[in-house]
Amino acid sequence: MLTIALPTGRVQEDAIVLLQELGLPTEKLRSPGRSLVISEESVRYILAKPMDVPLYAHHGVADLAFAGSDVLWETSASLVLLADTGMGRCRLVVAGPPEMADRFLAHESNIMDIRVATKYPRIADAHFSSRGVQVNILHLNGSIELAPRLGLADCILDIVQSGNTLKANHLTVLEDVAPVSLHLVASRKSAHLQWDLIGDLVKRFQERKAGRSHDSA
Amino acid sequence: MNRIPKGCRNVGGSLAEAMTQSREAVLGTLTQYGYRPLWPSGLQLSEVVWDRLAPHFRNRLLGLNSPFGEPCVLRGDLTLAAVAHLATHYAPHERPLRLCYADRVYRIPGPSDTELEQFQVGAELLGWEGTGADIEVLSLLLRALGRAGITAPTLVLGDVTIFSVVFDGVDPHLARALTAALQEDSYAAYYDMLGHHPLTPEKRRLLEEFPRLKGKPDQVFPKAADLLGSDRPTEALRSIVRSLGHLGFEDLLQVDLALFRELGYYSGPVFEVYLSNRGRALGGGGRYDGLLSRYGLVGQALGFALDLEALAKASGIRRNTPVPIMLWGRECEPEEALRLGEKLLSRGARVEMSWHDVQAFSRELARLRGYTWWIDASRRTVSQVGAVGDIPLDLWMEETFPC
Repeated sequence: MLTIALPTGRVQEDAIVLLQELGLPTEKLRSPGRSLVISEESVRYILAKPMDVPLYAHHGVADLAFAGSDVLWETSASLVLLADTGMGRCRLVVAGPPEMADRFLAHESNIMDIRVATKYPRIADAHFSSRGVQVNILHLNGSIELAPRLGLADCILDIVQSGNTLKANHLTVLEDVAPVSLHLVASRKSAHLQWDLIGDLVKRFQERKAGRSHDSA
Repeated sequence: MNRIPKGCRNVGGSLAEAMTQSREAVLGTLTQYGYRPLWPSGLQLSEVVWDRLAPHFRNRLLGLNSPFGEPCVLRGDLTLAAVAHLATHYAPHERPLRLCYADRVYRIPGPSDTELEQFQVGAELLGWEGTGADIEVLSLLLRALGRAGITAPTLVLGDVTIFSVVFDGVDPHLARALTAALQEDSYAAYYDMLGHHPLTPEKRRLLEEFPRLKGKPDQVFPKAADLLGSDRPTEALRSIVRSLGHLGFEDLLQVDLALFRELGYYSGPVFEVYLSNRGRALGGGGRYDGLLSRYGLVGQALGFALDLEALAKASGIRRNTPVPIMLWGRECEPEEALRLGEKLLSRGARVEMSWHDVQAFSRELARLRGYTWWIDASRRTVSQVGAVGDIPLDLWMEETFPC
């Protein structure tokens, strides 16, 4: 039996569509009720908070997992990265009030010691460190966009899809950090010991991806 | 308050007992085969280890200065210490050297982990230039695991020399990038890179299929021969699998031709041990002739290290602890009580002596410590801890230790 961890929320539907395209059963998964563990035929699904999903595979509770590249970067779990699904695309950005834009365009010293609110403290640290800038990172768990508006932070580092939430909170993108998409990952143990099951899925996924790029060409 | 640093632990109770017994099971197996215990220094000079470890690994070392002002690191890896010991203490004609160890290593934990210190038990066979070393070390690893109660581990075998065959003729920049992607366990990056580079159809097929060569040896080797056009690149690995099969370990073996290990100094066959109830490897090892040469030594070197705590948790030792007894010897001569203790030990019991003046205190301590039996050495009676009444010692021994 394969155990697959799936993120709840924004990309759950994308993951279910992908599982269906790969020929895996998804009927019960589409209406799980309050269940967080769902068994269908020879597959067991675990529904977890996006930030927790990589840990289920890291500790070997799940054989496979679907996780955003943002979450994989932030958790730095020891996993086998099988494929970029290309789904759930969005961007990790630094955003802030428009008046911050000039400071970001100017010399690095202009953004020294700014306060950055984020759900991704490790990514924020890595990003600003790579620029040689020391910032004060404020770890929040949600509603990050409120932080600059209420004076809690100077800017935020967060994912942005359409940009509507930023606009609604009078924020603008100051710089891009990284593209984000949904990835298929495996625990190291499962990649070694259950490749007969996993390899077949990966192959089907690559064929599907090749077919799509062929169609778009 | 007795707080210890985050990431460190004092291990006690049944886990500590199981770790001690697991360590003895592994070291006992190894010492029977001529492996000599080594207790390396906890501090290593930075200048000695720095150039000999992969950058991503040395970034996890904990640096500090000795009181004499020498830049040091807390020992992050026991193999380096073993090789340094060989290089500095043994003449060429004294080789091969067989070493075993059980000690702590210290590494900065990854973001998903919390442990700063790990307990490792392992072995190194250094400086042998003939055949046999691979099979010796691997079979001893499996025997030691069996002795520690791990009856069905999975040994995943790979060989990093196969990469040079696979990447032969590939643009060196691409080959390096592809190798790095596999080393980082990123198949996504590997296949993405392949898709963006022009390659002959044969080479593309080889590079696409090669990382998928995982599974039972009898399934993987024929596919590998077909892909590589020859049996020769996998000869060393097939020989190991064949010999381990003859030793009765066939069912425990898997092959993964894309297997890498994180330390970055391996230069031949590599392996990892997995258990059914644990997501991460219990341990692993491999050939590291190249590391030996960095110490100016010629010859083969092979070793393994296991996570002792994980081994103890997975072993049956915690579930099969000997009969636990508290033996009260206050009302007889101490030597008489100790002789009785030895007799019980020889039957397989585990005995703690109690010299309390008051019998009730001794019984209460037995209850607090979770003992099953309390024995009065002077009256030669046994009572079940927490229960009323007692029975004669001789009768109890006949029933408890029938052999």
